[in-house]
Amino acid sequence: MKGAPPVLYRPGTVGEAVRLLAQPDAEPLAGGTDLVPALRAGAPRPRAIVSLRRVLELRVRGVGADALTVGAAVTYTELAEWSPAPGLAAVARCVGSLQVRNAGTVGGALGSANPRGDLLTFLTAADAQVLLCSARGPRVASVAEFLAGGRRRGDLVTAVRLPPARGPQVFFKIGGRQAAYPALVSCAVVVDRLTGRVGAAVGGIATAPLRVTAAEEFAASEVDWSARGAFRGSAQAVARRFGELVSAAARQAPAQLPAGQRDPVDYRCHAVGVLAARALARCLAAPAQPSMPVGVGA
Amino acid sequence: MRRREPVEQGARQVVTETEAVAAGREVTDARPAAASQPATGRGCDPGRRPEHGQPPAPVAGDDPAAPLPVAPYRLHVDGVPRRVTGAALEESLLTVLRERLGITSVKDACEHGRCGSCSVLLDGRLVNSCTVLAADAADARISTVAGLPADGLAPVLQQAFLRHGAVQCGFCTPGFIVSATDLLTRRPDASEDELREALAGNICRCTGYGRIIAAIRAVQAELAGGGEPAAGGEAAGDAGTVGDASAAGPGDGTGEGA
Repeated sequence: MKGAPPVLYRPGTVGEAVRLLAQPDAEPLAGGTDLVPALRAGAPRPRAIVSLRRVLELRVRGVGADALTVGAAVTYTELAEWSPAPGLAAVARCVGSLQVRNAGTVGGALGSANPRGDLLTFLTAADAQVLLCSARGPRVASVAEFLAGGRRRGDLVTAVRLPPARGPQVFFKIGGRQAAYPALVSCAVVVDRLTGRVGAAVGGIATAPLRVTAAEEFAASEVDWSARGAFRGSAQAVARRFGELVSAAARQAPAQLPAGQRDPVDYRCHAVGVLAARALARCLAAPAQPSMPVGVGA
Repeated sequence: MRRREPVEQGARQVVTETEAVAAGREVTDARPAAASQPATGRGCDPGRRPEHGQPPAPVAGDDPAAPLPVAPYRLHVDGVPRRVTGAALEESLLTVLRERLGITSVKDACEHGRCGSCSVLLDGRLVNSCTVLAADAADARISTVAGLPADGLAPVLQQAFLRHGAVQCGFCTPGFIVSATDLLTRRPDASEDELREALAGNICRCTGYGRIIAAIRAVQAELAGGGEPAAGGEAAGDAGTVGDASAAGPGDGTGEGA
């Protein structure tokens, strides 16, 4: 007999949740869209499940001058209607089905760390930070750090923090029926007109979303994002070159995902390049928002 | 304790029994209800993960790896408090509704949140019950298709589905009615694109969706007080006003879909 029966805990505060998660073999449960089917499919049963459904603190969303904060228990449906973060909302709208969006949460997406997770690709491009809490106290990690390190025992994702939208943000993905299958590959491009920064990441290539820094630097140096249409050469050429750089980075990515029967690595690397080129073209075509502060060009 | 389900003995039960027979075990009515048990029975490789959607073999009562029941809890299903005893912690709401409470209108197909046939409302939000941990729904209001208000949209939609031939094998229908009711409650004047998007999480392998969409569009038209939408090619025979929908029920002669 292996020890005591498994237990479900339903704490009401982050403090309680963190204390409960500190015990060995305790698994947090958010929306359940990943964990419950996995248990059904025979995944090892944790000794304790800590449900976060009652932890209202995790459902907050905040708008600050320098950052947006999204609580870990915010669902995709809630995000999809959140006007302060149009890019994030657009990503949330294209995740799974309504049933999945009503249940799935931001914290769950991070905890499950699906390498094809739409939200993770976007958060990586947006330079988001993951706010964590454990019995040792709170800490902050970049999305990349968090995903690379794996979830440490006792860690609870409490929120995600990302810069406010200050320019076009585009997310594209390719895959089967959206409601039923995760994307095969995805690409997010996030432009900050204020700082001239361009963030770009691709999903479905490596075991975690891949930042494509060479392409980011190219897009930042080639385009004056503070003024509309101020770039050398044609928009089409810039976008195409951007896509080539993304494809090249994908081909050289460490920790590649294994090729599937219908999606060889070559195809995926080519496809993310196409998505990236389209995404940047969309960003270039986006009107400069009149309300936006005019900053210095790159 | 567990009553046999009169209907619903489809492929799933057959597979279960086949598996049990293959494993040299006896299939009895006392088979543990937990369809969500990991396949850890004798003769199975403990590390083996069952295929998605394939029921694990029944687990004998003396199996040390068998799931242990959690303390009894209550679920509020369709306005009635129901006591759940002997359930394993990892049982999904779908498993508990069907196999412990005998509510078989909640259909069990993919068991990983892709097909929508187990759609229910959890505190008013549309979710797949296969992705909800049953014990974690203890303080939530759960509505299955049977619990949707009788004076609301669900009966109107059911009648429209029948009139428009939106029901063929019928397996997906309860999930569709729940999803469509949810949508029309929130967005009575949803566009067709919106409607298709909102129903994307419900899979139908018979109708090709055209008639399902037509049925819902017809209900929208009724709600708007007008007639059938101009594009609805199957409008003939459909009454045009709200009041007609419920009255059309008994006289429709198409039989009860549930």
